[in-house]
Amino acid sequence: MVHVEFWRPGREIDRSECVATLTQRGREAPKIEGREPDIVDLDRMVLSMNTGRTICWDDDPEEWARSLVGSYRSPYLLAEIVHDDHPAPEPTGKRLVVRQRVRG
Amino acid sequence: MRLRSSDGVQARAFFKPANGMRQRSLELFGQTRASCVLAEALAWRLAVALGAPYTDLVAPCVLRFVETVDMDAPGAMSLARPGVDESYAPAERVPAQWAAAALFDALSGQQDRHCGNWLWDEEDLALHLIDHGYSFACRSDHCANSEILRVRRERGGLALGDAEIDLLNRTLEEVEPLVLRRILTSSRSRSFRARAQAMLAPPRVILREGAFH
Repeated sequence: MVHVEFWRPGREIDRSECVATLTQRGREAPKIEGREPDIVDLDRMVLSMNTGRTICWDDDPEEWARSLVGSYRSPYLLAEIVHDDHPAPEPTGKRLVVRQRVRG
Repeated sequence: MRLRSSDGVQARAFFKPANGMRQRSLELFGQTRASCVLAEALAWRLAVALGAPYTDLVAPCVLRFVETVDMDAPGAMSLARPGVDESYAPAERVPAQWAAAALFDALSGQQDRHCGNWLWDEEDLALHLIDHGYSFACRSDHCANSEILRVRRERGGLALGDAEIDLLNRTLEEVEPLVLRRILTSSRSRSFRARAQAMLAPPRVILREGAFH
């Protein structure tokens, strides 16, 4: 099971709002709730977090749900996984350091 | 965050720190933390170089250090734009803006233009493009969505107009050498040129989705 929350960042700190949630269990129909259920776009193609291939909901509903975080990432609407039975590995990557601070 | 200019003008902006991006997503799209924030800002520089209507379409974006967020690296700071996402209405209501947005996506190698990455301001009849972190792609890079380009092509808008041909010629002569080449990696810059050249070659049609060259 994968549970995803969709957040709209607010104009002020701590004013962000969860506007929709998606619960995906296997190939069952997705359970979508919240004030803005239409923002969960079941037709959207996403890059699979596990395989890197472009997939749609019908290809693999749970993998599609898990991969939404790579798609809903604008400052206007973000997806966040709050539960995943089989989470994709998340490499940490190297932090970007582009300048050495000089303190006088 | 709220910005205030020295003469008191206020604006709302979004800050996307380079080190805040998900590593896995970056890898999937063939990007890095640096290339992603550069692409955000460079899309705006490209729009400025192309002129209207692209300066109206693309949300202004610059690279900035916000030391309260990250002392080590900059991020992309974009001016907030009005409008709603998930709407295909602008394809009908402002087809000229939609067509220009499609050309911008084809030229800039946009990898993920889904319907959450544009805003429709119905009051001002304005289409706004946001989120250009996954753009300036190379030949082998993934394309997840290219909705604006897909809709233009599906509606028969394949052929490029005279103004678009002129724009692509100017892009090759001035914009790529003077604006982009110094900033993009050589492979991304070559791909950018190749996309413009491919569209200028007969039969002079807009690129298909995911054709990054």
